[in-house]
Amino acid sequence: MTSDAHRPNYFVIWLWLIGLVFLSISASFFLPKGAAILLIFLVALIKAVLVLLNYMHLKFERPILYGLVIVPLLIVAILIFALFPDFVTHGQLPHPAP
Amino acid sequence: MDTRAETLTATGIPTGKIGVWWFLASEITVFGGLIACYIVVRLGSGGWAEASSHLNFSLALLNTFVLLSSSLTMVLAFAAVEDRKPKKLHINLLLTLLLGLTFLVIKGFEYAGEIAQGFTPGAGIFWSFYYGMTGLHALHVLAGIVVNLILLIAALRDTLRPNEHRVELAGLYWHFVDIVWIFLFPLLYLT
Repeated sequence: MTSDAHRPNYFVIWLWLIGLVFLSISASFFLPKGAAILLIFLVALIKAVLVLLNYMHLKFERPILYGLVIVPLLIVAILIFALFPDFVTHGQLPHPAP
Repeated sequence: MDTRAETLTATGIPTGKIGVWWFLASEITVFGGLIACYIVVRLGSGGWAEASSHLNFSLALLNTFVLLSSSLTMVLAFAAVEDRKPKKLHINLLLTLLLGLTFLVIKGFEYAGEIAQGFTPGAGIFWSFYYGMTGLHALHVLAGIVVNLILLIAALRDTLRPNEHRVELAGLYWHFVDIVWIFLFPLLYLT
């Protein structure tokens, strides 16, 4: 539970979330593809953290709850890197120089 | 042994809340696994941007605003519980529920349009991922709507009072569903 003094301004957080959606869309239209993708996913990450900290009140919770978020994310990251060689580089390593 | 949801665990966190966070941790691996597979398969093959261009961007953008707004009303429902304002709780739970339903209706229209053009789940790997990920997400929205409906009925009957913490727990789930969409939207519609 949060006290009145600690309660974030939920409406301002919502405005930020909406603003960040427009930033992502603008990036997809106006930036080169590589930079746009980087910015779009950075913005998605910021939005997710805003929701986690303010709407899910993670910033008022004990650190052990952060573990419950971070550990599964690490598992997902491991999954991505484990699959990378097979699907993205199709199991081919760069040829050594002759 | 006291097994009520408000009993504090050894961590100092109530049982109900830590239970929901454990559940969400498992959900992170479910959606995270799907998203991870989507990313690596997409990076390893071409033609995805072309397939993605057939999606209805406007409806998806509208749905993004709908879901973000439903998160606001859900957290306002939680604030109403803390402030002991039953009317505000009823209104915000009802709004959350209606916004959730709006999301599903819009998604339904989007699916109908895509299927009418021949883009069924079997139309290609992109479409299999698209229907798989958004379909699973829509099922989660539906589950959240059912939970919120149960809470709203209890609140209207004035039987929620001993279990008001359930609004916070339902909110945790609802915001998680919102976060999943925060990632699905750029993955499917913006890249």
